[in-house]
Amino acid sequence: MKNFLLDVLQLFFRMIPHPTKPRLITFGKPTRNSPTLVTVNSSLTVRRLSKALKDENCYLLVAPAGGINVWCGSVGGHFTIESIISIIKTSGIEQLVDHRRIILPQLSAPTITSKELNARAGWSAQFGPIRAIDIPEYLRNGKRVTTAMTEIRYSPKDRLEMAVAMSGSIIVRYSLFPLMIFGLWGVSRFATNVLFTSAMLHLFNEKLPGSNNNRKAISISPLFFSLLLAFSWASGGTSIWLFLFLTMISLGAAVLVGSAYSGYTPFKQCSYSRQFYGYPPLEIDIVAEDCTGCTLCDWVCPVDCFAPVRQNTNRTIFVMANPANCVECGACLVQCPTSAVVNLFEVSKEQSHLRCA
Amino acid sequence: MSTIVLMKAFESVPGRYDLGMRLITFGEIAELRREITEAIPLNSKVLDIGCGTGELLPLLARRGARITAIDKSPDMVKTARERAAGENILDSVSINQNTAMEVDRLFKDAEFDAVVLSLVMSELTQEERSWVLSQCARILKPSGVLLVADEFWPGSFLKRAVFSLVRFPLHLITYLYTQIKGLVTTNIWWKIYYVIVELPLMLLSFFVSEPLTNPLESPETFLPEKLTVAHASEFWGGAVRLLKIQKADLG
Repeated sequence: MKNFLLDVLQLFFRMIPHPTKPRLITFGKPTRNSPTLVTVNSSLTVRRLSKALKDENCYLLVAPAGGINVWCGSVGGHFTIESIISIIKTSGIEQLVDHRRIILPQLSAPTITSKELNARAGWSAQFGPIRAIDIPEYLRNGKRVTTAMTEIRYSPKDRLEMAVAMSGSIIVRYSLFPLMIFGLWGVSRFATNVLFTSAMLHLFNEKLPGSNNNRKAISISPLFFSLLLAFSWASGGTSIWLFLFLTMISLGAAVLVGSAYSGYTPFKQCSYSRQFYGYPPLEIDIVAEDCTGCTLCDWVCPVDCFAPVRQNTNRTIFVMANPANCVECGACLVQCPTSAVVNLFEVSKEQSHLRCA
Repeated sequence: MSTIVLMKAFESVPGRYDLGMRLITFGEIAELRREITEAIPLNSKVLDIGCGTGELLPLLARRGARITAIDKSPDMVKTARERAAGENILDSVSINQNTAMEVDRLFKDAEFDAVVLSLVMSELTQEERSWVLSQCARILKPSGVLLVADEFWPGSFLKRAVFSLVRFPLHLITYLYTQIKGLVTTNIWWKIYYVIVELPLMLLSFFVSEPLTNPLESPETFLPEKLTVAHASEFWGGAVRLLKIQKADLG
């Protein structure tokens, strides 16, 4: 019951950290050779992992990462090599197991490399599946990932989850405005409107009319708007003012939902990071001469950007096959052992700078 | 005065760090450094964990110390190296980018005459603190000294309450500053919009997040067996204490 309430609360407040104590969790009866997994100290993440691992025999290290989820934490610099070193040292795992290998969530690949961890702490790392549910199968398979495990799925359940998370952040951020103009009446209409519009937009994005997300959001808002209006007119008498106020609130909600949408899917970086913090765009490509065909970039890519190509010299290399899929997480850039993966954006910027000089 | 949490705001800009520290400690940071330096025996081998901008390094070098300094921030390491080069003490100093949690692999048993932990412990968790101290006990030579300078909770209940009251708004300001310091947009309207819209989420995050720094409890609660406090002194109104800790001469 307590966990259910926490789930609901943390679902709505997904945009703030949910730290839990960094620690070692033991599942089943692990031996000195049992697998050791690492995750972040977000309590939502730890609860879901614990559910998935309840029948396994393994150790789970909960690393200090500011209570932020794995992907945001690793791209945003909260889940780092230092987090892992800290938990390895303080948990006493070195006295519990004979091996020196940890299994990392694949989405930590944007910052953590096995090479650096080995050099700084004497532990090697391998990337496990993206989702906690896949871990039991992964362990049974002799710690081998399948293609499905390394790619992001966006099921209707995930979509609904992200819709609620997004509504939560929009309601917390913007409720001040309807509150100042219309009072609590306005806030309740605004909040329900945001919840409805984002649920529809997340669930049926591909099927909605309109060329961009703003138009899509505006195209579904009349549905809920007419419900609200019917309710208001039925209870308070027909008034043109109610119609105008509700139009303003619905339109405002639809625009906010539409412009926030893509950043709350796993397929685009959030627009905030670029607008306000100036994160540089990534335009990934692979330099054919430097590629050794080690498959690591393909492995860590969560959205299937890369494809193997057989060269006539009997050598297989990887190429950027689907640049439109790229979410700019930078995992391939960090992981490539020969620096064959490059960011074209940086290169062209440097070149234009040189031309200026 | 519990102003020391403000140092987290200056940490992001090494160039401003020294000036900032002088301001928030009302100049007493120099006094603290002098006392640390005097507590270290002449011509000894010293480890400075969390050297920051390296202000302590020239003082130690002048006493003939051979110093190994580490800091987790690459910017701080760069600044400290520049300072060492400027002071012509590169022969006796080596500065590396490492965290306090790596000392077990970096240094041998009984390698140092003195270890300095200046304003480092309050940034670590309880578990990290006891781990670092047990490592310090290992790498110190018998009867070596460990110098811990940090923010401590006052002993009495009343002082503790006043301390928290003063510290809370400073902590909040520092937190908000660290959240918005990375803003790159130059448009003033975007900046105003950002602060208004993000403030509710930032406040929520502040209340659920781990504090930026945690003052230490009394030394008896975290010192390992081999280490004992030989001398303690207080700075800027008791907010920061310098502990001179001695390793037992048991071999």
